[in-house]
Amino acid sequence: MGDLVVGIADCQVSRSRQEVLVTYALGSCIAVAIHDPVAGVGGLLHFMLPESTISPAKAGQNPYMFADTGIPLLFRRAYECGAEKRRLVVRAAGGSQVMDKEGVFNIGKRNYLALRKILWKAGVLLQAEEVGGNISRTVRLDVGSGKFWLRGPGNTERELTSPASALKGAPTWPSVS
Amino acid sequence: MAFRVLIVDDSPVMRAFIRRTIVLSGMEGADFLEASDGQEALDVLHQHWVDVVLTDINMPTMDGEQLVRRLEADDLLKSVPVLIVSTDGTENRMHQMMALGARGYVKKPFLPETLRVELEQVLGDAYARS
Amino acid sequence: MPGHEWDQMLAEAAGEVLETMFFAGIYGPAEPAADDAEPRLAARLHFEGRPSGALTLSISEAAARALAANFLADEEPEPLPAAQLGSVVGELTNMICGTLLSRVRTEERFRLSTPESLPADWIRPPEAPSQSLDLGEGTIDLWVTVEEHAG
Repeated sequence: MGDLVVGIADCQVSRSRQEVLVTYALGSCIAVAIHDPVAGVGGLLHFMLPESTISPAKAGQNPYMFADTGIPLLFRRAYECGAEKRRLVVRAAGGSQVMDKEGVFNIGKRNYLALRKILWKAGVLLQAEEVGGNISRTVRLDVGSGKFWLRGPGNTERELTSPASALKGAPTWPSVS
Repeated sequence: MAFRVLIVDDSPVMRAFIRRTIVLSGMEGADFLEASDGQEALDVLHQHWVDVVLTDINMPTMDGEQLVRRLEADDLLKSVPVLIVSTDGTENRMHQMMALGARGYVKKPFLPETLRVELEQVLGDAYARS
Repeated sequence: MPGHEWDQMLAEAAGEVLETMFFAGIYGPAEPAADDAEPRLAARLHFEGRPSGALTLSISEAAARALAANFLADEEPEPLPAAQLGSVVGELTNMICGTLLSRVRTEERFRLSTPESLPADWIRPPEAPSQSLDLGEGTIDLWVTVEEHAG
């Protein structure tokens, strides 16, 4: 079983059931994980900033740096591998306010809002998320099983599952904002 | 026969948001009916079978509370599950509406995912009861 | 005029509504808009309860269009028709008011009127807004007034 590392401002898409996509040190950055259980395709994006309009030149060099260029490209690459939009399970993690605890409208939050806007406009709902707070996170997407794992500093790893709609009671989204 | 949803809210753009959320929740084959107040909703419900009603509370002419009361009092319509979508997020109001017969409650503003989960829960309960 | 508690809650309510359903954030406080600085849209609604009052919202047209495009998931190049834009501004006002009232009076029940779009030549209240907020693409001014009852 191989770990395929996704760096900062990076993206990997895989059809190999043995592979695990992993990205580290998500502070204010956000990781977007997508998985098509039927096509067996998984993708992981680690983006840093909300909008490429700040720097179109940088977006040209590396579209994965920005939510508005990286997210569409993540999806497109997954479709090219056989994924279908309506089967995709989408999860997100990160968007912490690590450097800027005073910040009213800091990068972590702006990244999160950019993510939500882009997904809503693209017609995709999130299955699960863990964003905000002030910790740095590491995440893994298992391409074979579609399971998504989270770890904070010093914490043990835990799976981020969808809100269990089959169960009674209020949805318990582990969302920290 | 397609799954049929009635959305009741005096704001057409809010009705559009709710509809989009339901479509994106996997119900793209659903039929959507809309009403801008409780009275219009009753008129629709007397003409069409509906599988679920999503309704606001604050509306002119007939509000959501009145609508729920009228549905509960109707032998045919009381089995239609109702999900409240309202800016009134007080505990008081939530308990009142659930006691009157609503099966779910989503407070505005809401994440689309929150509405999806609540709707699935309401429909799951409805299937369990039938 | 309601006190500081209402003003503070108003900023929080606006932030919650803008982030949750309009995917927009508040950059910080802003200067209240000057009368003819740029095109703006406005809406008002009344609430009845303990207390009764009104919420008035004024927003830069550019900001309103951006919020509407987000809310409606609209990627069309043509500008949104005025009626739809007005409806979005009205719903924004409605949700901010409802969220505010749920926070400041958690056990009270209120009736909210349907928001009305104010005409382009509406007269701004003489008093300063309760909150003026910077949305990046423009600003929002909010006035909350409550009716004081004697006794």
